[in-house]
Formats: sequence, C-alpha cells, structure tokens
Amino acid sequence: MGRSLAWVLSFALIAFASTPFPLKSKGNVVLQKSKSPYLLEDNFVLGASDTLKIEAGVTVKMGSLAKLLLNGTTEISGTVDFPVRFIPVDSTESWNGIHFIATSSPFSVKYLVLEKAFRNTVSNAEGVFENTTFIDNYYGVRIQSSPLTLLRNCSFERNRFAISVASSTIDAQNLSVRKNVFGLYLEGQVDFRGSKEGIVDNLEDDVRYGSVASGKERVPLSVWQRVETAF
Amino acid sequence: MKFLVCILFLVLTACNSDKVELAFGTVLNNQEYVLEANLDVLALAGEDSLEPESMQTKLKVFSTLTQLEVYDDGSARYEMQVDSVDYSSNKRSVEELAYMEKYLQTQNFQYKIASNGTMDTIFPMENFVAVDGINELEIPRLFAKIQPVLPDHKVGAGDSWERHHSFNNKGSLTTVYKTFRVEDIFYHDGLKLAKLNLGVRYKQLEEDASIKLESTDFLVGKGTMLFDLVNGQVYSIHLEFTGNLNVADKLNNAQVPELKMHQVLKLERRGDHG
Repeated sequence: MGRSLAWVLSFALIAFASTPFPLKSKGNVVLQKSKSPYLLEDNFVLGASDTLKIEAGVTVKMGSLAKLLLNGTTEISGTVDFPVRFIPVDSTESWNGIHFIATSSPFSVKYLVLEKAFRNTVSNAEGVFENTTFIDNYYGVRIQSSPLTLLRNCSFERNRFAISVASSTIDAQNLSVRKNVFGLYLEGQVDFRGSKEGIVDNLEDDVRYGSVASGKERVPLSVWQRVETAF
Repeated sequence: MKFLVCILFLVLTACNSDKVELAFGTVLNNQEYVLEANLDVLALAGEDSLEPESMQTKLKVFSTLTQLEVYDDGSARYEMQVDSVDYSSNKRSVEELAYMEKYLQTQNFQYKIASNGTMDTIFPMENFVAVDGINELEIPRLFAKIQPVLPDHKVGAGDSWERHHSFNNKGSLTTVYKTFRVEDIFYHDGLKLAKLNLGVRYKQLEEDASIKLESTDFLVGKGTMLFDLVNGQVYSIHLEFTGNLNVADKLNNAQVPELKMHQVLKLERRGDHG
C-alpha cells in the first residue's frame, strides 16, 4: 500500500513537473529549453508538411508506449554542453522509439542522447546524426532503405543491436560502437562507406551479416516477420 | 378461389415466421470477447536438400466491446478495448515478444456498423499508429477479417447471401468476398442462436520497399459462426484460411521459396464458453 502510494505520488510529481509535449502551431513544433523537461505519454506524428525543431538542452521524458513518427522536416540541435535527451519516464521501462520516415527533406540531428528505446529507425529517409549517443536501446538505430544516412562522431553502448542496416547507404566517420551485443548488423545490399575501426569489444559480434547473406537459411527473419504482419 | 388464396396466404405467413432478423443489437452493455489468431507458415521444399523452415505464431486478445452511439439511420458505433494480450512466435526474440505484447495492448479501436450490416470504417485510436517497415501486428486488421456482414432482410435456414468489402491495405485496395449460409436456428442454454456457414476469399498483394508478397491464387477461408439472435451479438466465430504465397525479398534481391500459410481465427464471447 505504502509503496503503491509512493509510486503514484512520484509519477504525479513527474507529470506536474513536466511540460506536455506541444501540439502543432501553424505546422511548426518547437521544443524550448526554458520549458524543458517535456513529457510525451503516447504518440506524436509529424505530418509531411510540418516542422519539428528541438533546441539545445531540451529533455523529453517518454512514457512506456511513446513514439515519435517524423514524416516532416526535423532539426534536433543539441550542443556539446547542452545535448538534447530522450529518456524514459520510468527508468525500469523502455519506450517505443523515434522513427525518421520523411522522404521530402533530410533530417538533421546534433548532440542527441537516445536512451532505453525499444527501436529507433530510419526508414526510406535520409539525413545526418552528429555526435549522437545511443545507449541501452534494443535497436540503437535500424536503418532501412535509406538513400544516405551519415553517422558522424556517434557512439553506441549497451544496445542489443547497435546499428542494424538493410538495403541502405551509410557513411560513418569516427564511430564508437562498444559493449553492445551486436555491433553492426548488415542485411541485403548495403553500401557501407567510411570506417569500421571503432566497432570493437561487442559481446557476440562486431560485424554480423544477415542469415541469407551467410547462406544458413532460405527465408530471412525479416521476411518471416513481414509475412506475419500481412495476416 | 377465395379458399385457395387463404391457403396461400397461410403458407406464406408460416414460411415467413421461420425467418429471423440477423442484426447487431441496438442496446449493448459492455461485452467481453476473446480473439485468437494462430498462424503457421511453411517454406515449401525446393530442389535443394536444406531443412524445412516454418513460422508459428499465436495471439490471444482479451477485449471488451462497448457500444458508443446509435444513429437515426440504424447504424451504430462501437469501441473495442484491449484488456490483455498473450503472444508467442518462434521468429521473435524474448525482448521482441515482450515489446509486442505491450504494443498490442495499446490497440484500442472504434468501428461503425452501417444499417445494412456492413462494417463502415475502422478508426484507430490516437495512441495506435502503425509504422511501415517495423513489422508490428494490427488487431483491427484481424478483427475486420473475421467480422461478419449481416443481411439487410430476414433470413431462414438454407438462405444465403454474398457481400464484399474493400479496404485500403498499405496503399493498395484489397477486396474481400464473404459468403454466408444459414444452416440452422436453434435454442441453446436459453439463447436463440443462428448457425451460419462462412466462406471468405481474397487476393493478397502487398508491396513496399522491402518485400513483394502475393498469393498465388485466392486465399480461401471457411468456417462457422453462431449469432445470438436475442441480444444481436456474435456468440462465436471459427474461421480457417489456407493458401500459397510468392514472396520477393527486395532487401536481399532474392525470391523466397513458395510459402504455404494456414491461419485459424476465433472470436468468442466470454462467459459463454466454460
């Protein structure tokens, strides 16, 4: 009883101390440091003609089902002293993730920390992650069918799949991919440019190729899962 | 002559009295349902001698159906609230299973049944947004697949009807043809039930950046439904689909071996089944 009450009170304190994730204003959403931290409890969908800008120093607390689906212009502008952070409301729970899906304008992400998401994705979109830290996620970032994703000075630690890439072009410079279960997972036609030197000390494999590429199975896992969702 | 007309009138009246109206009730208190979807897919053996591969998934959704509103034209709006989920798959990791169960629990949705018995629209709630390429299951899709299309006139044993409905399936229009035949009308445990034979067929075609999935012919579903005539509710539905699939894995630029699928869908009202 006492623990339940304490939990309810602590959640209420978190909720009251946070700014609700803002609704769109004339197609623009701006997250300001002065109003941080923000709280997102379920979904935020950025339309194709909308813009999301996040200022340096902003923290967003994500509920256990929260996701950002970014189909419009996205600029996340952290700095070395004031990074932007996405963290779970409850540190024992994960949240859904950030999904970059815009095909009309490239995304720009600088000094961002993504912590404890289930899966962050880049799907059909292109853009750049600079000085971004992926920590304690299940999929640090899954990049699929991306014409070009740039990874600059990014670090990945304690993710299950740090970087998972399928049929995309990646340009990586100065990566640090350490202490994950899998460092770099490649599936399908991947054009990997840059250096893999920083992909070391991962538990299972630093670089692993998909099951079809290794010739072990005829139907890759991603196809099984995709077939399942069709029914 | 008058005598013959009277006899004819009596016969017609007697026939008509055997007919019943199959319609969703206009008064519905919260009703609990269990939806089950079990899917088996087998990669058919090719010329090579590699081991057969298969996928088995099981999904069980406990939910509560609430009627939100009844409109003047006889249509009604409902909400399906997901209470809890059991899910297993031999093609997902432990972490993915846990995530999937959590995600499925957010998939409450609303739908509208038109006065002619067709399901008009499904409205995903705002906390449920499917993302292409992420391979997440969708409960509303399963529900729409199993949902009956009721007739707009009285029917009796032996009567049949066919209806179809189309829906936007990830960018392409899929048309599902459903046939119904009343097999029997009977009393059970104080309920008046209609037993219907169901037939469903549709062509599966989906294509995105990662895959092209196409059924080699119509996917065929057969089953039965019990409909509670007193309360105007589905009592139970059991439907089995079979078919073969051609799949092009665009990520790996490869053709996957032909797949054979078998899906069992069940919907049961809770409290009626042991």
